Amino acid sequence: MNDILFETIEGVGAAIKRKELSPVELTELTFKQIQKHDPVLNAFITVMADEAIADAKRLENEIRENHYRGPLHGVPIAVKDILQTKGVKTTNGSKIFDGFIPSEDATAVAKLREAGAIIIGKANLHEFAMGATTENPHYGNSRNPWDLTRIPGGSSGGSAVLNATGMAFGAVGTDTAGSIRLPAALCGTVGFKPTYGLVSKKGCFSFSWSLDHVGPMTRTVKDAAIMLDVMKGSDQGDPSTVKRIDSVLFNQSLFDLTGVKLGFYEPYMFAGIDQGIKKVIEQAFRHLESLGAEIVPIDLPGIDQALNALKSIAQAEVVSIHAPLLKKYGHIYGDDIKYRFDFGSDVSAGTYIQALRIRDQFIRDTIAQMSGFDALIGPTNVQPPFEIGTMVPSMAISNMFTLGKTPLANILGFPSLSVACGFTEENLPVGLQLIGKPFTDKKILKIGDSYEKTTRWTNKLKTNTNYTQQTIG
Amino acid sequence: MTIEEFLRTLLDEEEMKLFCVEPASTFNLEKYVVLENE
Repeated sequence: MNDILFETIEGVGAAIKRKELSPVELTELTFKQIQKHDPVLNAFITVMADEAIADAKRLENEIRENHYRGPLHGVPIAVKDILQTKGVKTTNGSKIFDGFIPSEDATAVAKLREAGAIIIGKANLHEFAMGATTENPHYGNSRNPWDLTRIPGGSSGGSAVLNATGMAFGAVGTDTAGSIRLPAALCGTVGFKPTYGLVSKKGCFSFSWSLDHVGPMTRTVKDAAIMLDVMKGSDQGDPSTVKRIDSVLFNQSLFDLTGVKLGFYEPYMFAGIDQGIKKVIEQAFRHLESLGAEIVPIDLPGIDQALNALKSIAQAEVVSIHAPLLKKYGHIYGDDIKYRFDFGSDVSAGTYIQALRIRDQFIRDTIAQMSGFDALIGPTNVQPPFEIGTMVPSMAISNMFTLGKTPLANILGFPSLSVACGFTEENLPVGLQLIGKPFTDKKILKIGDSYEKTTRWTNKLKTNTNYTQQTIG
Repeated sequence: MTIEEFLRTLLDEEEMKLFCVEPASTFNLEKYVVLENE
């Protein structure tokens, strides 16, 4: 195992800047890792070796000529295969789009390229990002590197697997109810869903336009800040983007968490939790307190109605998007997606509008409740990953709600981080979740960084031999 | 090709009228908040 493949973006970026590390050599090493492990893990739909090596050579020349683009210059990054990539197939995880070769990059991808990132491939996902397992009937199942018989989570499962196994230094994911944070947690990595509107969705196939977010997936919190700082920004191609230009980068980690107040709403956060995972989360809470943070009970009135509203909004928006395709190509959809459309009730216009009103009131109430608090705290996942193939279509719809506590941040649109916080007795990773107030993305990243710097669970990734030695049973 | 051009290879003119290629959301959190100083 080559340790450099598990280095941070911050680390390799700095070495490239000092001309001590060659982007070409780094990219070639990354592809060796991909060749070795992706046949088993199946985290890619498309590997872009030729394009990536050509980009690496160009970017290496720029470094030689002292044209430095920033901390992502020459760093291999993957993209979930639901964001368009110019000249490279973008399937959305569906056979219907198998022949789609976009003429433009999605805005987030274009910004990463402009910042010098090397796009190395398109990561596997749950079909149309509509599920939590990354069991894909068209492109195969991605496997969890901590136990190959289990799911990596989803829908950005391939992206999380790549970061966990040294096949990428970071990846772009999308999150409608937890699709960045849940797989990050189940693979022992970091995922960040920014405040709604901070990152453009232009060029990303929509699941539910008012709940979808594009965000970074990395091995460390600081690396997520580096990627987000490049990806964020107003975009005429996506009217929902906001005109904020504040940087989310930070050079110095917080000395400690003295004065940081975290709200814990136990009735939601610990509902349905596995006892082994609860133990890990409680240890993480104690660690946060040892750093000076105060964890205080908080009430979230209206949360149950709000989470039901999320289901109505998602169902109404997804049906409206897919209706024309379904009529003609319904037979090409996977069983769980078909079930969602066949048996998921069509949401009436009245129910949809009512759900939007419930959402509006819940946001106002939650902001009021969070006055004086820096963030909400809780687990990302409350269950260990399922074994692959054990979910039936009727259960698949509610997987995100069974596995994790991520949908809350989507109905709110607030920023939310998942950071690795330990392992169960079965050696399966657990994620700790922070949810901030709108546009406090930098603060949430700084709190997460402070926790991570003093625990360093990420270091365990390079010692994981489960996928290097284990065979598929 | 653009996604719209690709979809036109799959759907006819009438079906395309029903397809919202890149839906624009009116959801915006800026109205709810006064930024807190870090």
